[in-house]
Amino acid sequence: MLIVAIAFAVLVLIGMPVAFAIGISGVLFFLQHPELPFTIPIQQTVSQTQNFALLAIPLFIIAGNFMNKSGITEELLKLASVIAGRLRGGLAQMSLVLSGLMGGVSGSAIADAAMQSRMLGAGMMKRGMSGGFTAGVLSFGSILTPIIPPGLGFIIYGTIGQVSIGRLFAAGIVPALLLWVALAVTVAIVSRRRGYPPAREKQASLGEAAGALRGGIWALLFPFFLLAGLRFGIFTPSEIGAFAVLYAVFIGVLVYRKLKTRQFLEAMEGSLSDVGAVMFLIAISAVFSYGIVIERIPEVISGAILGLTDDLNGVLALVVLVILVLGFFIDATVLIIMLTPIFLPLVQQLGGDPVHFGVVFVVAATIGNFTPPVGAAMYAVCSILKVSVKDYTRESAPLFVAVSIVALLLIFVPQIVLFVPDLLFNR
Amino acid sequence: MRALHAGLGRIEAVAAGVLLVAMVLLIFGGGIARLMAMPLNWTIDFATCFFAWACFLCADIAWRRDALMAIELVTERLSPGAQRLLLLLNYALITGFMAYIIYAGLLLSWVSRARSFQGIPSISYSWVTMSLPVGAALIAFTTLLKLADTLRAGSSAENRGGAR
Repeated sequence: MLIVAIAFAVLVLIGMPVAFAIGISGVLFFLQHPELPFTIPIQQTVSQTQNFALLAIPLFIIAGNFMNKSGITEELLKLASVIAGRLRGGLAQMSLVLSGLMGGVSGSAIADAAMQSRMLGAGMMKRGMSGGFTAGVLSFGSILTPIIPPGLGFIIYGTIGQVSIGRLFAAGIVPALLLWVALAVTVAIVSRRRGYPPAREKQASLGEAAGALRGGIWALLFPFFLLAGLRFGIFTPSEIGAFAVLYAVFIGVLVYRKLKTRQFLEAMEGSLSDVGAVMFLIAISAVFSYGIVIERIPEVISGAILGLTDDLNGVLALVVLVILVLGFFIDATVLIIMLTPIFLPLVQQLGGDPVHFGVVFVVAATIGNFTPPVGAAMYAVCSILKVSVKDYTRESAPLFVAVSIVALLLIFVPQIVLFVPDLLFNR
Repeated sequence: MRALHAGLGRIEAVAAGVLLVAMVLLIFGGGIARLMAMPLNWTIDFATCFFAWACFLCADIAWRRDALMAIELVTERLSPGAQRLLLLLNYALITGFMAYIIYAGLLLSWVSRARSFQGIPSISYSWVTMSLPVGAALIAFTTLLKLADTLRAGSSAENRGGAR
């Protein structure tokens, strides 16, 4: 497996797509073991797609693409303006609220950051916000999207680690609120110091507020539908995913009437490459897992970490540090797919809660999306807004600190995370 | 050759889209049927079978659009010439890997043709297994065209350099 790991690292560093790098280095393991049939990698990869639980992932990807084309975003922006438009740095505060609202319909931080940069970025800079800070808010704000149900990271972690997706969804609610408060306070402090203006002059009238609420209600209710469906065991996560797709099509066609044939085809087009990028990686990672199991890699790594400390908090801190550092270079989705089978058993062995670890894992891995040198959300935002990574890095530092403080709190006080799922799903 | 590749691209996109939509309807229908106490287990079987095909067709679609996740931190700092060499090396390795998948995948489909899919005697599991070598053949085709593009772009750059 050592040769496999080295080959994988080299292939990734020479720019090969991670999925191919996994496949090629994984096959090396079988070359070292001529007693194993060489068709096993094929069998492993194909049988991965036959796992019904994994179908939740492509379904939620498709649902997210349809939600984005359903016209719901514009409605939610109106709602965000009513809620946060009067605050100092109004557009920045609105973008945080919008990320939270969007979290209820879509599960990808990168998609949210890119979409908001197009919608709000130019307006924020026109109102005098510096480019670096604008990009920072748009990028870090999107941390809320994958943590509010339905989050793609939770779905992938839950299916790979066999952890209840309903509990994971429920566990995201309080951390998302804390992250939102931390980011909103940071934006408020910076806006006050720099004199950024509100986005609107007057408080919204009651009529406008009611209208905005009615427009956004379909998105606001959606996470509750999902949680209720899972909580009462009416649907499996995959069925909930199929429901989410049909729900998005329903509100896009009948409620907002924005989803015409052209938008439908665009959403489908986008879904095809998104599904291909994520699912090909997951399918082919099964080639790796075969060797990982045979050579008992999780036990080896556990042994190494347990040699340093056998205190649950110490191990959690260490694991999160590893995830965070790897996250600076590697996409969150890839990290969750590759590291869940290695770290989850270790944490469970020490009595850690798989739901708590899942939330901590997804938060830590997502933070990597926002940080240089290789944050995918950072790149998306900076390239759309034409902001340099240097300005971005300098001005988003306070946001990084705010998010990190919440992350530390989540690691060491599991009750914050587990309170809601324990309440909803009974322990 | 390129027209063939573009045509295949349209066919695979339509096929993958249809399979994904069918998957959504099958899974939702299966859930509803179970709620009404009339479980339709075959919906799950067909959904997973369709998904195998959709997954590997979508892999080629993503590869065509360069949408597969890669880490370009190191390569983007290299000289254009070195980048081109690494790209050629990548494409060559990927083509070789796909050749292995096509061979081993077809072999596995053939030797396991008697294995039935989900215990349905008239349907062979090879219908599912075949999705991978077929997807790999499409990916290999795409990779070879990328390889040809890179070679051509490189040689024309050298020609321009020589003329100056």
